[in-house]
Amino acid sequence: MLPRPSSADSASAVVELHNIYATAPVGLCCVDRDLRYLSINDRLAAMNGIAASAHVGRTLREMVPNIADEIEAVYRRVFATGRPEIDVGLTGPAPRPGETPRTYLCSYSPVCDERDQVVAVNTVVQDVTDRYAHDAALREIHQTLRQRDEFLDVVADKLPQAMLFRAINAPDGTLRFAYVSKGAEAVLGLAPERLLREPEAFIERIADEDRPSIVESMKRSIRTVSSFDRVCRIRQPDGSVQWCHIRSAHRALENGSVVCEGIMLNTTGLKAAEEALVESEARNQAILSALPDIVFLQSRDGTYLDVHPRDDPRLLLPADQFIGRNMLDVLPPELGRQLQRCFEQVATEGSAQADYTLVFGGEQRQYEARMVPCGADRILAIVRDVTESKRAHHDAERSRLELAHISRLTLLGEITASLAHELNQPLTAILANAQAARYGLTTTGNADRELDDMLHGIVDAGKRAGDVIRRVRTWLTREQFLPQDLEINQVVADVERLLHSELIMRHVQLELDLPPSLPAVSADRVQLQQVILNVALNGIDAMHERPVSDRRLLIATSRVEAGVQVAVRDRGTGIHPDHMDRLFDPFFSTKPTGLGVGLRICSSIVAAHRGRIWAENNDGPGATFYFTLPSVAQTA
Amino acid sequence: MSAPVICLIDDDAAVLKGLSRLIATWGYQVRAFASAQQFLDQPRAGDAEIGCLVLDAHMPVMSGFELQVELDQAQRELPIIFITGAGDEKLRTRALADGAVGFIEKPFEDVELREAVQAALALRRST
Repeated sequence: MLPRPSSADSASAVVELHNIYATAPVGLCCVDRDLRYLSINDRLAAMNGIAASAHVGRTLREMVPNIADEIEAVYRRVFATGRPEIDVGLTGPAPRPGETPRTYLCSYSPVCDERDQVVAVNTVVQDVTDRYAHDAALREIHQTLRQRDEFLDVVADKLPQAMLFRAINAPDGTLRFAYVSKGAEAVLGLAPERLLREPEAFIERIADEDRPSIVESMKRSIRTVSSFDRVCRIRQPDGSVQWCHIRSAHRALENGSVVCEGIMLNTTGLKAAEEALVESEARNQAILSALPDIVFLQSRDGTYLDVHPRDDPRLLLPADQFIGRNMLDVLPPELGRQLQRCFEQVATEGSAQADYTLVFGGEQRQYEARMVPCGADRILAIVRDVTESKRAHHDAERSRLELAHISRLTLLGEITASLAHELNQPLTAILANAQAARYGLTTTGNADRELDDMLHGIVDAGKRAGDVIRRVRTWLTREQFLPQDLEINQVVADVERLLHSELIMRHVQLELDLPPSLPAVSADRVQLQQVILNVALNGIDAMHERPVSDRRLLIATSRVEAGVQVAVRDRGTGIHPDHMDRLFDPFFSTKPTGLGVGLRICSSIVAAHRGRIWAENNDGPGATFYFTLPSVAQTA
Repeated sequence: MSAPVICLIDDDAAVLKGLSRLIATWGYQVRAFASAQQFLDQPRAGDAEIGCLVLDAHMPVMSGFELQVELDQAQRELPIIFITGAGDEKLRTRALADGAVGFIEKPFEDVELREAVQAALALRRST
């Protein structure tokens, strides 16, 4: 019920007011100075539980006696002060027994006449019972959420390399962070507050090379509301690149947004460890590949677990035919047992070695196996094919023996030659004297048949001895001299090869000074080798008491007036001045076991080549032996 | 004319003494030298009465061959008969090529040396 309009002008306003009264979702009424209802809408009437028409003209106390005291005070205040009172709370009884009491929010506005006298008060009443309950529930929810975020913060703080997050992807595609733990600093190098404010900063942190694929895959997982699990590189503010593992779960909201909740982990440390592992694996692989050996991994009982390289043609059987089988079943029985004993030795002594021979590809090949423990219950067997190196060693040994044999033969020849010379002298004297005696007997006329016969016997025996010596000499010196045009440096190189093992055994360092383009010499190669070798071996002998670092032998060739010269310089004990003149005499030696023919041989050979040999003490330690040979041009 | 002088040069004292006796029994004068140098120390003026040299090829310091070269260079045309305890075909060839009149390997029969000396003296007379 509305007051009648006082003038035609306000007719439309009254209609509007009437409409408001009828449709407002709030209770409305107007009360005069006597606190009687001038008007009331149906909603407020319903709140009071009395028909609207029954209110008009009645007092508040008559209509709502339970709350009359409370509201009469407010009305009187408004009438007295002329000021409105807004949002005054009011609790009313439950409309029906068993229901919750109602809570209202009331606003009171004074209505004044032309003289500014308050003539009535308009009142708006809102039943906020439900809203209050809702707010309380909301408060509770908020509190729970806050507690949960705090819990998350606590947890997140314990994960320094992790960032927990909740992000909301709006239907328009924009993404914002609703929660970010402090780990943002460690993972992304961003303050959490900044990330909340500028979500795009996260995308900018992803390294350029990973960004397109990460953004694409993030969009896809949001679109399909599926989980996201990716590793990417993050460029830190200091420029360094760190690895980040992002995992999140997604759920859709009714309004079309998608909530992404998850964790970002800085896995750089893990990644580095993983890379170190991969690298160490690669390094092991590289070492294995570089080894000339075949490596078997076996259990302690001899079962093959692995082999490297897998497809090696040197393997007795293809890898898949023996891996998983025991060596006793795979190898020849005797070898199996030999290696089994080695395995036992590995258990007790920590390592073992075996040398064995296998017929492989119709050829006897020699192997060397070393076995070491690998972990607690496995053994690594490293097998090397030593056939070639053994052969090379054997060859070297044989050439050394041949050389020694040749040396002995030459030695024998030289001894005989020297002996022959030494014996020929007295024989010559014996013969000369005996023959002179026979002439003497004849010319003095004292011919004595018996005496002459004796002298004749001496002469005959002497001649026979001479013949024997001559035959032996002829036999020994036959075919030994085969001159050919030679490069002296080539002969020195031959000798270097022959000396090789001797130099190693005696710890002597050989230096060569071999200028190119020396004139060729006409000589017997083997004999020339003999000379250089003999002098070099003498030099090596002379240095055996020197410290290893001083044991240096120099062989130098040069062009001289007489042709070419070879110098062999040692750093040994040198030559005693008293011995200098006798060095090349037969049977002269300063070595306790020397025969005294080595240099004699050299001297004979050089002489036979029309050369010259001599020795000098060095200014420093040791001596140098020289010999010269005429060049081919000079010999011709 | 007195008997030709045969110069004997050998570093072995026993050989020197034995051969001196032997050559002397053939009626020649013998002058014995223990080294090449000793021979060179003699005045060259005596060369006229020297019939020939019986020269040991192998001697220390200066060998018979070296003495041969020396004499050749000094243009002292004395016939040389080499005697050697360690000779071979090469040395013989070389010695004869260089002008020696004989090359005899020790030990030898008296006839060998005697014939060589006679041949040397004949050569000496003819020049």
